[in-house]
Amino acid sequence: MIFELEGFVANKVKVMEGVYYLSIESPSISSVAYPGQFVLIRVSPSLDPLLRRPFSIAGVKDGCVEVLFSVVGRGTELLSRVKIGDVLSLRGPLGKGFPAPSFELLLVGGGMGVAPLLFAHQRYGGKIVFGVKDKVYKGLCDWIRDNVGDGLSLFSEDGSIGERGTALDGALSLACSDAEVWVCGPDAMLYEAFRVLSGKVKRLLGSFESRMACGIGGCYGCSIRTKGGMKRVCYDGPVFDLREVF
Amino acid sequence: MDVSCEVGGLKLKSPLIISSGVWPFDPDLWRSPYTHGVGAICTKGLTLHPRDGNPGIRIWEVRGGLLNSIGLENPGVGGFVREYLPKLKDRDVPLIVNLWAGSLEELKPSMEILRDFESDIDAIELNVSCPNVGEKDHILRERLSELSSIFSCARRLWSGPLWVKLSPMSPQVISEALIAQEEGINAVVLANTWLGMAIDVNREKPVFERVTAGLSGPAIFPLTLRLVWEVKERVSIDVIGCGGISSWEDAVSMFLAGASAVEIGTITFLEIDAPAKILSGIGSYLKGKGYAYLKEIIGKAKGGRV
Repeated sequence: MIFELEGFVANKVKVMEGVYYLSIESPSISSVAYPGQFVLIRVSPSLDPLLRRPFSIAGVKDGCVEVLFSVVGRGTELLSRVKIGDVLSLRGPLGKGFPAPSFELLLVGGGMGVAPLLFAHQRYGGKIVFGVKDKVYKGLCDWIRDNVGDGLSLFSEDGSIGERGTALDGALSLACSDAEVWVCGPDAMLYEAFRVLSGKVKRLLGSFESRMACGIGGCYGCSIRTKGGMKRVCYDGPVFDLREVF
Repeated sequence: MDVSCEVGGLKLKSPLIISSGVWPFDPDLWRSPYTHGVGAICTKGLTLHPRDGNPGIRIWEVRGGLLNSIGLENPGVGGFVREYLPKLKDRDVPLIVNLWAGSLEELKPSMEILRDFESDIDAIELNVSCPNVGEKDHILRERLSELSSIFSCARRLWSGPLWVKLSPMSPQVISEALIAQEEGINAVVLANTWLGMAIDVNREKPVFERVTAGLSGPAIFPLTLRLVWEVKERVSIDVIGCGGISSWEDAVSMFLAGASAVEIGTITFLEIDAPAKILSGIGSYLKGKGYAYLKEIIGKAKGGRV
């Protein structure tokens, strides 16, 4: 069931400069959503911008859907201005998320790719490996540590936060042959994860990002090429087995 | 308030049709509550053979509209009738197959496949894209001749409701609509997307690999409304307005200009329940004006029933 409903902004946190956490009241969506799924949020009551914006669900709590986002354009800039008590329209839950894990779970995220992993950790536990560029992201790392607690390994490219290296460096050191690895981040990171991890772990899943219009599989604006032919990120994904894509 | 309509050989409970390229084949979405306010749904554009569509970026938001370069990704006519049509039998609304009719060679076998499923398909909408029309008159004449062949072939092969969706880029859209009428087509849909482009200033390159892309959304509404007005002055067959309709006011404007029904697409990306909202607005408008039937306002801006 896909819902398109309005809900109050129950909580808003400025995690760091340009990064925000929102909790939006939506019992219908939060009760059925599972990790890896996403919502389309209307960022303006007018027809401008014309498209909703896609956000991975970062968690569900007390009948609310949680999202974590960085300001990257007009849509997210508008969304960053909402206040607690404002009303937002959500379409969701959308897409096919992560299937329940069958093996020891390792969650690997880079940058804002951490959002769906927070929901996965909330639901299934497991270890999180999170990588950032440098200490600019300290606020985000602190916020994630506060929310995740144990089981978080932090990496930064310059060594200013956690260990020196990338999230994939951390994944390589932590992943055992019985591990199931879920990776979220930009396409380049997903490809690199495939390259370095595909032969070393039981299962390797990745959550893909793409420009989207409908979010329900109708417009084919988000299709990507896989070994099994063209697939829609919004409908067939956003979670794919990386071995079926690369 | 009777908002039903008769258009292009179909009787619809609502004059709002979901345009091609918008609605998924997912059968759940062809039933209530998603079909509230919907008169019919056009399928994704189908080609004879499956197509992967275009590489690179496919959608790009612009002020007031959306550029798309999807490139007709679809399972092919055969794939559609095998994989999707059976699952859509239990649907709430009529199904209109949008069929790519770029050439006679591709049209005939496509129509022959669809003919075996005529009882499951409520209408066919032929998508006749206008190629880069040359500037010489003889090329324009050739195009009209080619369209005449395509329309007459389709008409011979399909006894049910048959519509054609014309390109707004054609410099002779009235002539094309008149040829459709001569060949027994039931309705003309005006129109497809308008050609535009975008440049990514960061990459300093065109956004789309094919450079140009189709513009839809509110920005094109006045352009399409003008087309409907001009074509309806010349043809007696039904005209269906399609392009940028985003509100009940837009839909009513189309009816007043002579459209018997309208297709809506891009607005559903923003509001999945746009058909229900727009239909409610149309009903309120008719009631407020003292009309009992939608058909009373068709072409009224021209001073009477067209």
